[in-house]
Amino acid sequence: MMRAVMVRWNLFWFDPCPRAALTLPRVAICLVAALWFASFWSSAPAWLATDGLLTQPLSKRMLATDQIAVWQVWSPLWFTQSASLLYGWLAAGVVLCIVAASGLGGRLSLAALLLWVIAWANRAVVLSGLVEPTLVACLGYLIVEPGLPLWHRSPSASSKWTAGVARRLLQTHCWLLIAAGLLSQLGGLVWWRGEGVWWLAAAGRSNLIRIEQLRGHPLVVNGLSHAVIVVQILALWLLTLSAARPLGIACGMLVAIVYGGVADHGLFAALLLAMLLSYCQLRERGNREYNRAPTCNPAQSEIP
Amino acid sequence: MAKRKSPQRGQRASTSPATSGELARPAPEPLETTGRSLQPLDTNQIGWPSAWVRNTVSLLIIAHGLALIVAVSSNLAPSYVQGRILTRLAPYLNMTHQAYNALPLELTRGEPADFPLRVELQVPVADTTNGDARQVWQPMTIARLGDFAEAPAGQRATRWANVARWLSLTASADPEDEILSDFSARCVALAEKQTGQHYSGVRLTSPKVLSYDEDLALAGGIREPTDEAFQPTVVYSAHIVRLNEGTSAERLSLVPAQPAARTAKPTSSSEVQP
Repeated sequence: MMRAVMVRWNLFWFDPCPRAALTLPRVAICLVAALWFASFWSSAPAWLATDGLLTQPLSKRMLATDQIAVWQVWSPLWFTQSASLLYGWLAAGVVLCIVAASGLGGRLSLAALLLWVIAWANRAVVLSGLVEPTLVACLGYLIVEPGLPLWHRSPSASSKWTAGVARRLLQTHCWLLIAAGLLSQLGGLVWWRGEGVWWLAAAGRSNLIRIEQLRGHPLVVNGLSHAVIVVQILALWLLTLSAARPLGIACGMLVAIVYGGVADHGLFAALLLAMLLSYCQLRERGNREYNRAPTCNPAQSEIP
Repeated sequence: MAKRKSPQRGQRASTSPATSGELARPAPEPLETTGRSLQPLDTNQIGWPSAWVRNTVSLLIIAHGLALIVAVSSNLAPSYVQGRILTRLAPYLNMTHQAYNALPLELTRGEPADFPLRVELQVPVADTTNGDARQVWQPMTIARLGDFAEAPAGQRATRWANVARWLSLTASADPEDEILSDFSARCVALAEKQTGQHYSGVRLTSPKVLSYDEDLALAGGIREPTDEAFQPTVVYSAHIVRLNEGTSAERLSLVPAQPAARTAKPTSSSEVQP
């Protein structure tokens, strides 16, 4: 039995996959990273500069309150509070994102981008939301296999086990995040009672729904809240079934809409969508290799 | 959608492009999915890395996966065991920014940490009836950061919600934490710098977020909006003390407002330059 488990493990993680399968997720993730950098543009000095709200001493005390050692949240930005340098960091970050998205530099540009993102996120750790840890993880996975450059003419040219590992890491992380969100919601009473959407709207944390739209419509409130749970369950289940994977991806997109629209985690929703691309199969003409390579055993395709 | 494939196809050298001749070959019989039939795939699968690489990468994947699961599962209320494990994993999780500290994976639990937090500043306003000045609270407005007058319920699409969550959790653990006064002092200093106005007090308030039933009762006239239960919760409140006022060395400090029955000395904020 142990031997069978190990074989399935190896099939799941190490089966070669076309490098082209990582190209689209890489472009999407790097574009989300560019948006993430750009989203700090207007407010960076007000938060982090000398006169900002989160000056270095205050930020370090906040970390100490949370029992986080300062050396662990490494960043060159701890040594400067200059607004110009903050802007420069953001601008360079956007450029790095574009370079990495194009495929120029391969792993090197992605590694540089990863360090750039971590450095900013660690300096602004108090401002971190759901998107930051996920973005860092995605960039790390892409270093394992960045995919093909955008100018590459033959996307089905080669398959590599590193591409399989990177693709599986993206898929598994995406699946895990949806599962964690679902379990966290089921750990609270408001989603069981069908009031989750109401609380989001009432607290002003919904981009799409206003409290006035829900007032006096208990069926809508309960229906939407329960639908959020159902969609996540369906996404988790269908993504694991190869025959129903398109439906799983569609449900995953709905989950992203929940995060970005029903709640206000827009960048995290965009990142979820980018990660969902790792579930998509390529349909390029002549790309027969891809449709054979990812799984060798029918049973393996049942694994997410 | 992933297609089901015969294992023999997977065994082919997938590192090289398939030729038309290879594709024309008849497909062999698929293997069964029992444990015994998997054995032929176990040794030297073409395209797989060598065994030691597989073992090493597998260990790394397992270690990273476990760290991630611990971080995600204990993001809000870790158990004792989770706390101990998190302490050990902290260098890895923090250095790679993988720590999901108190992040709202659940979107909302209908608890104060999920509610908006608003900064209000106290300004003197001339009273036209008797000519005296009275103090009123007004929402803070900081250019390019937040305008609590425009969006009193919440600051969507900004980082304010993340900071507010952090401050709310800090206040729930210790309402007199110095972080609250120091952060409030920074707010006052930045607001004064931008507006040129002098404030006399600052407070962090959490507007009452009504449950569906409360909202229904309010809309139906069963309860009054003036009820105590519907008033905002004051998370932190302080008076502003100025040192060397009117000079270039002017500093301001916050002294927390004390409840009437209080005896312990409150903790002032650090001094900041307005």
